[in-house]
Amino acid sequence: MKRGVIGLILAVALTIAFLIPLPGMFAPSSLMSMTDPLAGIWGSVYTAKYPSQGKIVMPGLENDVIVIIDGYGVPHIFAKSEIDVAYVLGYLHAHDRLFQMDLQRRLVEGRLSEVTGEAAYQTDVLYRILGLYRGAQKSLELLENISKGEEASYYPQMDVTLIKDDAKKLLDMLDAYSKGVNFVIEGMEKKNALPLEFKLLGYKPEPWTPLNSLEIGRLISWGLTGTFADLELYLIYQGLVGKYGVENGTKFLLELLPIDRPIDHFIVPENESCIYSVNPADPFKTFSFSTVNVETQGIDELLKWIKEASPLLTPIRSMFASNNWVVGGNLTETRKPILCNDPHLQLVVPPVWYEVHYVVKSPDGEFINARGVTFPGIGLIIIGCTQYVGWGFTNVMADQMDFYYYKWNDKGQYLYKGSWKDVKTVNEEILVKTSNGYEKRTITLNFTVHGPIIERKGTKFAICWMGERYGSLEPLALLKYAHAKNATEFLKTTYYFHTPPQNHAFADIYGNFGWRAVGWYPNRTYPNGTMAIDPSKPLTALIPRLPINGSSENVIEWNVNDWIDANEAPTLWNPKQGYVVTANNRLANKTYPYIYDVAWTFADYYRAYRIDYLIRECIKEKGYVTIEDMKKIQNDVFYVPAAELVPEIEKALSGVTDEKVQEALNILKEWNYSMLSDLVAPTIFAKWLSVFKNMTLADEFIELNKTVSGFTISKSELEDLVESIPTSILEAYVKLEPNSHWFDNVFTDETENAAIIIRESFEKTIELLENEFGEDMSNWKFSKIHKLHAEHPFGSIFSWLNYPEWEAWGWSQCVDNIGASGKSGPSWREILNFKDLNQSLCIIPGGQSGNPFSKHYYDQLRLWLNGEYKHMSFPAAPSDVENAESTLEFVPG
Amino acid sequence: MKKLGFLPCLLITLIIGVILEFTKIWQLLVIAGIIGGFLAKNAKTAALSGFLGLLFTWGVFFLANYMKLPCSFTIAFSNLSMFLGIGLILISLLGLFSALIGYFSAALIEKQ
Repeated sequence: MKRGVIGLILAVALTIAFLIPLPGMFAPSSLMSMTDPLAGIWGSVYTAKYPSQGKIVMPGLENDVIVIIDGYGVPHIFAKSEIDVAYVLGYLHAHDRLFQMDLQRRLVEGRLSEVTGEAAYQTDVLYRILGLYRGAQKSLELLENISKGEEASYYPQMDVTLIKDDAKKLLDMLDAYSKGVNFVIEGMEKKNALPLEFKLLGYKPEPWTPLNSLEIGRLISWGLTGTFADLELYLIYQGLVGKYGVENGTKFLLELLPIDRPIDHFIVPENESCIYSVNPADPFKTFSFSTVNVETQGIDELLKWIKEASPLLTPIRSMFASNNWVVGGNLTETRKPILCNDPHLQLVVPPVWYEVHYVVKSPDGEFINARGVTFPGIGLIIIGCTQYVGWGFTNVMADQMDFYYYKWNDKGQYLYKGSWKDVKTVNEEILVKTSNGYEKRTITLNFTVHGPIIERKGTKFAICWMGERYGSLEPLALLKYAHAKNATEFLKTTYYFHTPPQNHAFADIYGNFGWRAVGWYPNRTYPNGTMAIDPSKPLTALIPRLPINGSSENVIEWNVNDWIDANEAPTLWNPKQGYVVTANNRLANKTYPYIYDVAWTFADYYRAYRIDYLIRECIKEKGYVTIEDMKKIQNDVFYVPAAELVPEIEKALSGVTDEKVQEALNILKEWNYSMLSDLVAPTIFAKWLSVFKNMTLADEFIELNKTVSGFTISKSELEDLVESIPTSILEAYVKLEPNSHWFDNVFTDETENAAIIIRESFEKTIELLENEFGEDMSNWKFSKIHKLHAEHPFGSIFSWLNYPEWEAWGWSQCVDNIGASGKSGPSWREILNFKDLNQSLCIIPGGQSGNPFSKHYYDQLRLWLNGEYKHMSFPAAPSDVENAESTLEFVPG
Repeated sequence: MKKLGFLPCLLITLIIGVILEFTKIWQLLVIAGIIGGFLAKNAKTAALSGFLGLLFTWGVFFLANYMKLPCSFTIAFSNLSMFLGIGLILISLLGLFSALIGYFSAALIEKQ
């Protein structure tokens, strides 16, 4: 009897342990729910593939739509209206990428901890402060106002009557897209077929709204214009001023980050003049630079917190880059333009882009045949081509973000234009998932007239970022791109593209081609309206690079009555040179009057120079370029910094007899500067460059840490700062000023120069590589340090969700820019052939589907890694689609 | 009440389990285990029939999943094999414990 009772109690206890829902993915009840054969994650297996034939009844569709899914999972949509295309694209995006879409909107809204718990709380706080969602709301309001014919208050120079109908149409499309997404969400919920990530996290997606699409746009804008570089620079500046005084401190700062770099390569060639319209009324004013002592300890803390709170999805320190170029018909084999683009974004699982092709044949005779890539969550082609015009983007690296600091009083008020003002406060609630459900936490957001305040250890800055402060119309511009019938019309429509500013390389089938740094840039003016930045006074270029004194009576602010709009952006139209190359490099020389306003964090010249060189070599050799040449250029792994610096290493090491050093040097001497995985030289050079930068620059900052009161820089921030100093600046010092004080190690009695630091850093590199890979140098192959690391958000727990860690070649600063971490690189490669657009080529790093059970999960990855392409055709009818895998018929319900 | 041997208990657990699985509430499978165990002639029979009964219940559905799979077996099951294993182990243990609840309950009722 007693034994029976004990047995019963034990059995009941153990059973209850299984049944009680406990927090965490690995609790027995969670695991049971996930693995349940009917209700668990198996449901997502069934949506891994579209049926070979299917009929889908969708309420809200205007007409029948045919969708053919091809052998790479790319949908080809044939519809009678763009509204129907948006509807069906919503369906397709949700079918293939629902979790990615949901995760991104949660990130923007600061609602990740609602599904992931405490781990994402700081991220949520950061994103609530940054206010990407506030910017998206403003964009929606702007569109709604324009659709009603109301003026856009902060874009007074824009004639909204010209786009009233477009705004209305775009709103309809956003609505249709949302309905398409929600149709899938409902269907998946009914069939228990939600993507497995939802099952793993134990939640269901909320309905999609038009606002969510605009939020995704804001995330992209943040990724490409959101930077805390001003604060990083200020941190250095305060240290330098603390030790050397304002004059020398400023001088040293400009030595490290010169306003005009000593070695550079501009988009606008020297013998070419770019076109732009300038408001002749813009006067310039003499700038007197002043500093206010802000505790740098607070800045260091701020930067550390931002880095910790920034998830992989949007790294604050930009690891993004891109290439695009367009060669005019005079210099191509086909006698028509060829346009190439490879935007370098994060390599993630699933990929950033979703490819789509659509054809619209409307009853009123409108015909659009467009193909390109979309961001899941936005039902518009971002980069691509129609039957008339094609375009590609690289980031301008525009400065659309300023920081303001203030004088504060004891009441917590800030001084602005001579009077004390209260901060505006808004309370928001963040739900944090806990073991018992949710914990509600209230945070208070503070705003000055310039934007939200970010604060650590009493150090406060207001963030003035275009993406939070103003609504914008780039979706409307993208909608209009699809309607442009030639490059002239295309260029006109770029006027509506506000943020993030992008270098648009474009061409049309009639042979026109060119470039414009499309975007709206803040015009920083004094209270009397005079422009603050004057290209004839280079020191004024520091204004947008450093935090601005918001309490100054002469405070510099953005003048929304006079933006530097897209028409004032530099443009090349059928340039004499015959081609245009952009690779995030500097736009133009000082003859372009707004050069210091628009951007300053330009990339090093290496990629642009290399592409330019390769195009010129082809032309020299054959008189023209071919599609094959373009493929080779896009996949070029020649490392220009190595070509420039290895001879300097050779010089510095002459006379060194150490066997190991000589062996490594011989490897470098025999190298053709290609960053290929089976070579040893790339490993030696890449490691050396990092050590060399560190040995040249770190000592100065460590000294500041020790000697300047109130200056603090953490080890990790120091490493990041050193890494962020452009390589071309060090190259210039090595070649032009080898005795620069930067090479002197401040902790030794001797005075070092470039040659000594090169030698010491080379010896240190050998030592480090020996420790890491052993003494045998044949084991130091590049493949040991450079692999693809495309990770799924759950990849650290379930590694099978990540893409394979295949060997990668290329490197940061190569044209084939697969970043040192293996986590960034060409996110889309397109080569548009305007002789016959059906002969165009493209590829994405992965696959169309976000479902790990789909054969399109990473079916393009190997091709991409090998530098191969797939055809980018423009079939005009369903029957013309090659390798059709599935035919879906959408009918109105 | 007549007590049953291993095979009948297993079959009863399996059939009730399959029926309950269609509710898509896995927690209800406990009932199948309890009934199977309640009818078992001894603790060993109850434990084994509960363990295997629910193992086969989910096994049948996994097999059906495999048959209906729209994508290749290699992709789906190579990635899901870990989940498959975990699921089968957990449900078997649940079967075992719930069957013992049934058995010990029956024993107590009989003694009273």
